[in-house]
Amino acid sequence: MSDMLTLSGVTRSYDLGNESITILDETNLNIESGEFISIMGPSGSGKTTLLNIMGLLDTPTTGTVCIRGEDVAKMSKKEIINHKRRTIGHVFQQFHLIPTLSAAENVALPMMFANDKLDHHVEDALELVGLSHRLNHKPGELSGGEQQRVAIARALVMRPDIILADEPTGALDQKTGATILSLLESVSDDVTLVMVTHSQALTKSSDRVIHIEDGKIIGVTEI
Amino acid sequence: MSIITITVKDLTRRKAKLLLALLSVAIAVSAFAAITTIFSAAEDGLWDEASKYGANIIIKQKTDQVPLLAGSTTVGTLSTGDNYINESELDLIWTIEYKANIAVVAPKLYGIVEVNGTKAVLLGINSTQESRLKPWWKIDGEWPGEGEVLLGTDIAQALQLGPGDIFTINTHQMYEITVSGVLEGTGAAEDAFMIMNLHDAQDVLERPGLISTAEVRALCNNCPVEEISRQIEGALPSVEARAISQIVMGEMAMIAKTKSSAMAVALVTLLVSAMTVASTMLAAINDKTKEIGIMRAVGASDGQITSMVMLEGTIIGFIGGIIGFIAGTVAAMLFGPMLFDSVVQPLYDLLPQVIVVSMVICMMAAYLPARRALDIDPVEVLRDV
Repeated sequence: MSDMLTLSGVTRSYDLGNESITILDETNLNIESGEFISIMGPSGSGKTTLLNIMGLLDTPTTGTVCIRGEDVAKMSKKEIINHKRRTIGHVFQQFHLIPTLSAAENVALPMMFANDKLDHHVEDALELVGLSHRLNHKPGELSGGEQQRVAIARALVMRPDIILADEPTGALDQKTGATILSLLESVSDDVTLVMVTHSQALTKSSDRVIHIEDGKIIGVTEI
Repeated sequence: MSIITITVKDLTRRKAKLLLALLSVAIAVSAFAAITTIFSAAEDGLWDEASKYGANIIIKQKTDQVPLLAGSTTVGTLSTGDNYINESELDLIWTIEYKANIAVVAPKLYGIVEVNGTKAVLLGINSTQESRLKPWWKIDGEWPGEGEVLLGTDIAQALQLGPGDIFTINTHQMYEITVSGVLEGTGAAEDAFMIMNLHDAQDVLERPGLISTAEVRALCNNCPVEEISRQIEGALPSVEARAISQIVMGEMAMIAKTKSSAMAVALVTLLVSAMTVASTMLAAINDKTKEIGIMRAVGASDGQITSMVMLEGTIIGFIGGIIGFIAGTVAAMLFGPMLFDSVVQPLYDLLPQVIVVSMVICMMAAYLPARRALDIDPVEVLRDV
């Protein structure tokens, strides 16, 4: 396996007036291609910040982030956007679908922004998550579990190398959460999956569990 | 799916704010359209009115002259002495480039004659041309034919003559002549004139083939009277052709000034509407920060986000422009006749201009919201709670 994501000495601090708050502190992490990584830690420990930095939504105050060995800081804006479109797929706890667009249109968003032809990819992605019959339904007409499946289809539609899932079952009941998790597990064979979770039970399919506290990685459990 | 789809769906979701923005643009555009339509009709009406007022170019020999009045307007000068124009030269007028705009060429010969021991002005005219030039003349009787004279009301009264009467003009010889009619008072110089067929006048005054002046009526709704005058002078080098549309031009200048003031108000209205659109769109951006954050997270570039916001402004401008044009035109047709006593017709040529102005204003208004949209940090707005 090759290196997919590498974080070296990554620190993320925020200035609040005269005070500087460090959310991530000198974090080092290497994720290999095809790995399923779970990140666990209490609220405020820096899990989401770590995921945002991996997903190029946030930039570290210091340290380097490399995708397939290439330093993100040295990439052009266009290259970074291209990675956001084609390399990384996001799944959020609150689904984050556009309410005015149908399920199919929400899934098609990354393809539209990448100027790719839609062809059958949108239908395929929705079929993969079991929603081929809900193409034209808007988020408000879908259950929470269905909305999260649409979000997963949106994350998968560009066939990215990395899926970053931030507590993907956090807003769902236990049964629906289990369905979503098994869906993520089923796609994890083809992609590098990084999932933030509070639940130990959800980590059992992971290759590694990264434990984080106060912005520092305090341990790694190999499974 | 495209950026247009997303923008249109987003706009239709925020119906109340969309209506507010559209209303604001439509009101401003309607003011603009109404002002333009009404003043255009007023200008047309003024030109139409002016076209009834006789000549707008007077031709005379280049010489020392004394003032000549037509109605209450100074229309040129009266040539004296031997300074006459050859009547045949007038044919050259029909060779100028703008000859299609020439409607009437009315030659005139002035001279002094004696009637019953009193000096009087004799005016020789071409009745056909003169009647076309001065359709408002009311005659008790007929226009003068051969051996006939039309008397101005003052001289008819002084000589106590009326239609059908015969009297004698004394110049180098005695001419017995019949009164064809009496011109109702015009308040102008012709009230004191004896008006005669041109060739008779040339004979009486011993000026065969000569005229003093010629009045020209050019059909001039926006045609360049000065240019026509210049061309006439080019064709007839010995004459001076002077445009006498100063009164009309003065009224046009007054209308232009009023129009400028009204347009300034319309412009302010447009700017206010631009601010309303900007404010509405800024509020809309605040409403959809999450959606914009999502789009940025899934790969929307700065250009694509900007395009969506600008497109929203453009759509508002386009629809608002059309609604404003219709409302403004209807308002102009309703109120225009009350303001300028003119028949107001829709200016369909104005529609594309109005839409372009409206769209440009709204795109400018969308600039700040677009900048605000680019400042949205997906990390901030997508933070799960």
